[in-house]
Amino acid sequence: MIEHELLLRMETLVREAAKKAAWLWVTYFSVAFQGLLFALVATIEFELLYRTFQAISGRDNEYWSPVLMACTGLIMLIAFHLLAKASESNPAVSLVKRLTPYQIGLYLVGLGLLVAGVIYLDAGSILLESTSNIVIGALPSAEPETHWLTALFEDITNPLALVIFSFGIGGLAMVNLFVAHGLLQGIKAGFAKIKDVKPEADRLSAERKTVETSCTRHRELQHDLNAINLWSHPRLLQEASVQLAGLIQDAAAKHRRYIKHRDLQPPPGLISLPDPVDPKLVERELKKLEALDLKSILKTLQSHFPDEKE
Amino acid sequence: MNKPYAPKLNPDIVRRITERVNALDMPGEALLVEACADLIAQVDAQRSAVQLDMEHTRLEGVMALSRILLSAEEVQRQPGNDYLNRS
Repeated sequence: MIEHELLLRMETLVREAAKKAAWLWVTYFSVAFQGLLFALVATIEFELLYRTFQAISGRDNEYWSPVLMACTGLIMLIAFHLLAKASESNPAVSLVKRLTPYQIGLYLVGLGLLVAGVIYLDAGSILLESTSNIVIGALPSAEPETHWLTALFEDITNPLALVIFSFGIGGLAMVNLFVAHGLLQGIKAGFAKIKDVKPEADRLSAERKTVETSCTRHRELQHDLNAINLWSHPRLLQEASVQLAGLIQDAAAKHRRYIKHRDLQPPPGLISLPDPVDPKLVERELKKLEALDLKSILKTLQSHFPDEKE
Repeated sequence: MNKPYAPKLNPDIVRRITERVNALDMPGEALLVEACADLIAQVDAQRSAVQLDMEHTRLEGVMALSRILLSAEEVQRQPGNDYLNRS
């Protein structure tokens, strides 16, 4: 009924869908993980604004209370996601997307300089200290000279690191929007996959069952059709003749028995004949009926239903 | 496995022939021809019914298969491949 190649392809597709459904736990894990990351990003955003406004105000009874201001950050996360979902080409979305790489760069450069400065001032300056002996009571010969590297760090690198890192931290609010949007997109895609994959696998499996049932039923019907096709024209005429001759001879046999054993109940048809029944008349009519045998019936039928193939 | 199909004489024709023979009357040639024509019609009707059922079953299977292949965008990958008209 259906080409073997197509059945094989169907089998492959159904198996692939079932395999996807079996690996759905990875998507569950991914969605849960992204949800946790989103919670972390939201908490950082909240904390960032909370601390900033706490430093400005310090009290919760002001209209720019830290909690209220921190909550505006969360609203921004959601607003940015909704905006980006509605239109990726929105100016605000484009701005955030364009500036995020620079913000990341700024943050990393600032952090790098800051770490370098801390390390240098903590450990590097010790290595550059003067090795001259300190004599108690001796007058200093001159003002101690500052090493040029120390001066570089103290006067240029550290202030620069502070400024750049501050901008980086400030820009973190923007990066948070970008990251939160990406995570929400991932969570949404994960849910869509969870919603689609299992029902799709079940549907394909049910469709395969329909195909298999149809193939089996088709084979059975083909078998039935072959059996029906065995009833050729000559065989049908033969069958009709056999059934008709049998029917007539069976009915006639009742009369024959009645003639032999008159004590039997007469066949129902004889009631219509004049009473008493004339056995000779019955015998004569019976002979006519018995002459209507299989051969004569078949000949009659063949004359009315000639085989068109011949 | 289904029981092999075998046509049977129409009960009404059987009754009419039996009545005639019971009355010692010859069943007319027309009655015999009618009985045979009915038998032939039975086989034709049965053949048509099975063929119709086969076509219906085939279409059901092909449609289910098409739905599977369409879901995987098989048709889009192979333009001009008309699954519905394959036998």
